[in-house]
Amino acid sequence: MNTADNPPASTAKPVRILVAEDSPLNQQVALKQLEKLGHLADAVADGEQAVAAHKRTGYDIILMDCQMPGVSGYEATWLIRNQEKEKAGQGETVKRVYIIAMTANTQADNRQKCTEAGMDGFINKPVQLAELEAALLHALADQAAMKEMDAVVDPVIIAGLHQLRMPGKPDPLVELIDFFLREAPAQLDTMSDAVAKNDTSSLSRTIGAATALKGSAGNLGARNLAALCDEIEMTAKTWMLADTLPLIERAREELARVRVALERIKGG
Amino acid sequence: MNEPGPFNPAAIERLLSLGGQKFTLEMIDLFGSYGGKKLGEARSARDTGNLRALAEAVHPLKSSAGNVGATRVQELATQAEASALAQNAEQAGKELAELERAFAEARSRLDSERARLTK
Repeated sequence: MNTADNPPASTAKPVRILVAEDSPLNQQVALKQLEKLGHLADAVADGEQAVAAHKRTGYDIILMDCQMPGVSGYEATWLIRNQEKEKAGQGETVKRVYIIAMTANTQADNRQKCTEAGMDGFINKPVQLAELEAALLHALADQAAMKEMDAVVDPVIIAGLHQLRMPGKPDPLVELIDFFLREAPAQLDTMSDAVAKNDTSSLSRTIGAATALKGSAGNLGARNLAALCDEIEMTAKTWMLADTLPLIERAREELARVRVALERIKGG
Repeated sequence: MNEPGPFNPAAIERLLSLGGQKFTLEMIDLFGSYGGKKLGEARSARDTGNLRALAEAVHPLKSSAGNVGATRVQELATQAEASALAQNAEQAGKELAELERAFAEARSRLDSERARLTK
């Protein structure tokens, strides 16, 4: 509830937030702070409840206390991340929840442990309004970037490729990405050169490179790039080679977006 | 370097700005009841020699105390938790006794704040 005397400190779009915190005082303060920032939130008092609530509701952001009785914040995060991996493995579209650790900044609450458990951000306790707002803005920016990335590279295909990993062996997804990022610019150059030369081999070279790039882009879930390569191939097959040039340029721009997304995927 | 005082009045002002008078009074009351409950758990843990339980009982007092400005309680809860986790029963016991005194002082100070707010 926001009144004229108590305006929201942020006009950010409301998101679904869960507060997992065992101290009722800290819980109430966090809920009030979120309300002030224009967000409605739910609250639970331990990690087990946090996992169950997230399974039911699918929150965008969880503010997770690290040390709670029973299932701790670390364990709850680990369980949530495992649920996400399982869903991805079954081909379901997974929305990764952004988990912000609320730490008392002591030895028992260390940040490395938070990161290892799968948490994305940190905030010190007692939580200050400005610090909370900054953490939420960071979380939302990260989620927006993730959404944009999903539009460029299909997350279901990436999740499927993740499943090919074998213990003690190089990650095949990383190898595939590296190979793709080496080969794709060369294939686009082949198309540009072939069109520019406009000789007897131009048509077959353009079609060959477009077909190859369409296949490798499709294998990595780069749908837009694959579609553009298909368009280049179809246009070339109608002998309209000059018309492929703007398409090749668009494919270069799309490849730049794909590169950013794939580098991010590689970085975990 | 200046030692922080036992109480930070800015925390009460923050609560007032965040949720108004009613909310602030509720938080003051909640600190009294929740803090008292946690200290009771910490005493029982000390009496049975369960240092892990003692650490777990005083842990949430740190940030809860910070939210109402009970700086000394926050410090002593941090120290008692660290001593208990280090399995130093004697030190944890001493700090718990100090923590109880600091908690009583903080409650008294918060009662004054309550009186000021409801005047």
